[in-house]
Amino acid sequence: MSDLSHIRNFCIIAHIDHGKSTLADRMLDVTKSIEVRDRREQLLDSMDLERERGITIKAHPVTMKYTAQDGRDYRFNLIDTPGHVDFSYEVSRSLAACEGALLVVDAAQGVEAQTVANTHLAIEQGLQIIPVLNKIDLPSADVEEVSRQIEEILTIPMDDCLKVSAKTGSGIDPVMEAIVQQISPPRGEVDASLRALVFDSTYDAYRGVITYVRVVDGALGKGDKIRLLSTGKDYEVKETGIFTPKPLAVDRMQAGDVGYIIGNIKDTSEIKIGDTITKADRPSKDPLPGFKQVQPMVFSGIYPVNTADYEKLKASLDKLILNDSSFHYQAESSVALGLGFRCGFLGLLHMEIIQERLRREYDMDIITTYPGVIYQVHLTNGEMIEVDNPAHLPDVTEIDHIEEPRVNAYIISPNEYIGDIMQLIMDKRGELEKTDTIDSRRVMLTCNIPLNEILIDFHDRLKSVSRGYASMDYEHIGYYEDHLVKMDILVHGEVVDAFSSMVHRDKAVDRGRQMCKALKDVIPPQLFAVPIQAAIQRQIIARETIRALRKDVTAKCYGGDITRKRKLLERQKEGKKRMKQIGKVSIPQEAFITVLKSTNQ
Amino acid sequence: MAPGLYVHVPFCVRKCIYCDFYSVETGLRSGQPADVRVGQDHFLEALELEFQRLPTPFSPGTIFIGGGTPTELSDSNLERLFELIHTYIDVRQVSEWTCEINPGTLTAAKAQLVRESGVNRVSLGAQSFDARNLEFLGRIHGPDDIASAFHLLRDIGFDNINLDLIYGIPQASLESVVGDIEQICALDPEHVSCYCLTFEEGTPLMGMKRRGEVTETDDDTELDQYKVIRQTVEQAGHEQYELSNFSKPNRRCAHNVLYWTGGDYLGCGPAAHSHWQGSRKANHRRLSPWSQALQAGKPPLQFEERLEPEAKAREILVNWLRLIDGVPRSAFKAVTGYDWTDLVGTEIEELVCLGVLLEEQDCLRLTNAGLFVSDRVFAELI
Ligand SMILES: Nc1nc2c(ncn2[C@@H]2O[C@H](COP(=O)(O)OP(=O)(O)OP(=O)(O)O)[C@@H](O)[C@H]2O)c(=O)[nH]1
Ligand code: SF4
Ligand SMILES: [Mg+2]
Repeated sequence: MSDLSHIRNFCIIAHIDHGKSTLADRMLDVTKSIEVRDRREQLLDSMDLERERGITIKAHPVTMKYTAQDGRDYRFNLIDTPGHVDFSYEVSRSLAACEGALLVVDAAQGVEAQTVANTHLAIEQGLQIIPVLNKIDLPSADVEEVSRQIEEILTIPMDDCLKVSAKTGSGIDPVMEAIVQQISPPRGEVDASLRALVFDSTYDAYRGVITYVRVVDGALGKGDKIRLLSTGKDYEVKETGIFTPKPLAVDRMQAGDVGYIIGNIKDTSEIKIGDTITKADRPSKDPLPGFKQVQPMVFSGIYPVNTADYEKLKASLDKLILNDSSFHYQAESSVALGLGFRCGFLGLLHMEIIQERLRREYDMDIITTYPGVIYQVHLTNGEMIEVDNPAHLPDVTEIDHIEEPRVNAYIISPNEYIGDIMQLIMDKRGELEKTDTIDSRRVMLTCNIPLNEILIDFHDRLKSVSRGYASMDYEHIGYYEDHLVKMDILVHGEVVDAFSSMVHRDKAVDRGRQMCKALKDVIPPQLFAVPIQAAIQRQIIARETIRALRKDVTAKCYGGDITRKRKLLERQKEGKKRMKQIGKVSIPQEAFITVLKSTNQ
Repeated sequence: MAPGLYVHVPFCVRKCIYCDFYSVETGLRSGQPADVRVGQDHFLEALELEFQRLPTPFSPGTIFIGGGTPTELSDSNLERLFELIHTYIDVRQVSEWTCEINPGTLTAAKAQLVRESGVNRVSLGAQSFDARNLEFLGRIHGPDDIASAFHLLRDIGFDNINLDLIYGIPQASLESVVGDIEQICALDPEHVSCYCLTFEEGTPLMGMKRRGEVTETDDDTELDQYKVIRQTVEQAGHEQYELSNFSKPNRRCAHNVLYWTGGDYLGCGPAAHSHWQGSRKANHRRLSPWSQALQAGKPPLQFEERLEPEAKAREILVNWLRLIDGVPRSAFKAVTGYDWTDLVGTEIEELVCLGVLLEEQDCLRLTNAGLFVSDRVFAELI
């Protein structure tokens, strides 16, 4: 039983949309892991949001049985990973649970930013990498060129590239065999003290906390007493199991296995991702190398539309965090919006997803404020404070200077769009550091840019100036000083703190104009005229006026159908209720979103 | 207040593109829908059954025969309709009896019949004097038909005539609206109703809008048209007494005033609405379910609602505010049992502050400015 030579643990990594989840589908087919009637595309993308957006958000493990050409049965533990930058921490965690990685590259698109980033992560972890060229069925696939890129950029010999179409299924068998032959079996010791790496956890209303683990040494099963090394707390195992991909209880898990543990753990907050689980009666003293704690990078306020829903929002966030420990929140209050939460996200997509889940799964009407980063504010008294909400910025007289986080962004793009992309980088206060030629058609631009500037629409604009061809990844490089100011927006003479944002002084006037204009377009006329102003330290820098409603009268004959008219009016009233009352002005929820999106086009 | 009776005649020669009243097309097109086969006879048979269900005795103060196009009934059927009314309804209390008339279907014989049957007020669907507008709207009449119908009615002895006007027609210029209203005034009717063209779901007009074939007239243009109409009609000796209605002194439409002031009325015919002893009811919208229910001895209702008293009072308040004279405190209290301050006092106070409502001498009414934004005001009060 202690022979681990039949186990292969690997994940699939790639740039977004290069076909990881589709390749996983084919492997599930080949191994007949899924009943025909249960098959569907990108089967592992099981969350509603994943299915709707067609992207992977969470890492998904699945165990399969593969009978190789050598006649032996192998157990494959595959983890499908997301391709989007915001979720690269999911990739890191998955890598830690594996000995190898299938690196999927779209043969029509070639090496992209996340291809490079994820390959580096895999190499750092010492994983065996199997390069797989996917989508060879596409007429635009250029197998030779893309193999060459893999060799030149990723330094993986081009001869090693496997060529597949995850869509048609061609070339899948060689991939299966390569997994058997090239990825080493796990090296743990079944008889040693238990050491299992926690790489994820979710919360199930019926079963409680489900902890995803890779068992490195030892074994465990139902009834065992386990201990979390970081906290020293003990729990009893109620169930161990594997993912098929649905959770399937098995009696025991042992070194080399990937699966889950359900114990009497009440709250996911008790479980730290990256922690080591051992046994209470025979504890190991050596924790496994964990992960860097993921730090939220993007912050925004989330408020209930209806102030009475504050408790409901809190309960919803409490539940959400059970399934997504990468997101943070903390109570705060806003003059305009009342009680709410300041939330930290990994990136904008992550933010969007959390908001959408709140709206849909928890049926919350929420308003979110302009996203921002953490600023380091150096005070004249020598202290430094971190500010994640512009409304909390101290008075200017107390501020010596402000520093903001910057990132190194790596942008890969076809040559012809470089001019526009450099312009975009400059617009966003970035500095181009170098350009590297990738091949005859493409270059990689490295630039240093404030994180705040890439938050909102950088990615969209990058895609639009490059007709969708450019891709980007970034890493944090630290805090730097710049001339930053807080810009307020006044609606009908009142500062709406939820609209306040940090801007560079040189861009404030432009930004202020855009915001006023955007708000003017989205706030419906009221029974009175409403001025909208942008101000820096109470000095007005831009202004628009929403003129008073001129006409709202349905001079229609409804005959004796009074009910119909009443219902129309009630709907109008409902619509107003869904708006946020700020002073006397009703501001629709979209206004808060529009402000996020209003940037210089 | 004596109750009203409304009778819905659900036939039209052809549907106008904007119309969402219920009526069956009887002419012009082949391949007629099944409803048409039910036919006018069938309608009248069922209507008789519905009249038999009316409370007895039923002595309305007003009668309104609308549609659809009442004059689209054949001469003999029209005659039968009036016979039925006289048979089942005690018309001795009736002070105002209106019949809607389509300028395209009026004949001297019909006019005569209507007149002799006791109708003392007619409402003529003129809509516009611009041939292009009439064609766009899908009306079956031309500009000349309006004047001849009007004179025919006058000559026969009607001294209380309403003309309907539609404004806000896509692409119609302000000049054409001025032309329309001037021609209306030239005929010197006792009453004018001006309705803004509304894009209703499920009408061909809405489909055209969705396909981008027409665009709705913008609010500012509509407002300009509304203002010029008000001015012109008032100069011609009419007084605005409701958001879209104008009349010579003592010629207000008493039946419609019932609708707006929370009065009782019973509606007969498909899609007709009633307000009776505190509850609102609607008949089946289509001919066959309506007549089938009646044949089966059942009430032909599609819908009935009884609002809780406060909501009911608010509903009456906003409808009543449509009247330019406003709502007298005591009358409102008598009808609803409430004082408006207890219902929506804070809202009223704010709206008064904004200058759209006025509360004086125990009367609540829209200000001139409030008229133009009345829906917004009502939405605050409903
Ligand atoms: N023509 C063709 N299309 C493919 C192939 N493999 C995947 N696709 C398509 O590419 C798109 C993305 O596929 P996914 O499997 O969702 O890609 P992914 O890498 O899992 O994407 P993320 O998880 O969002 O990073 C889908 O529309 C697939 O149908 C292939 O071999 N040929
Ligand atoms: S004539 Fe009147 S009821 Fe008939 S379709 Fe035209 S607008 Fe509608
Ligand atoms: Mg995927």
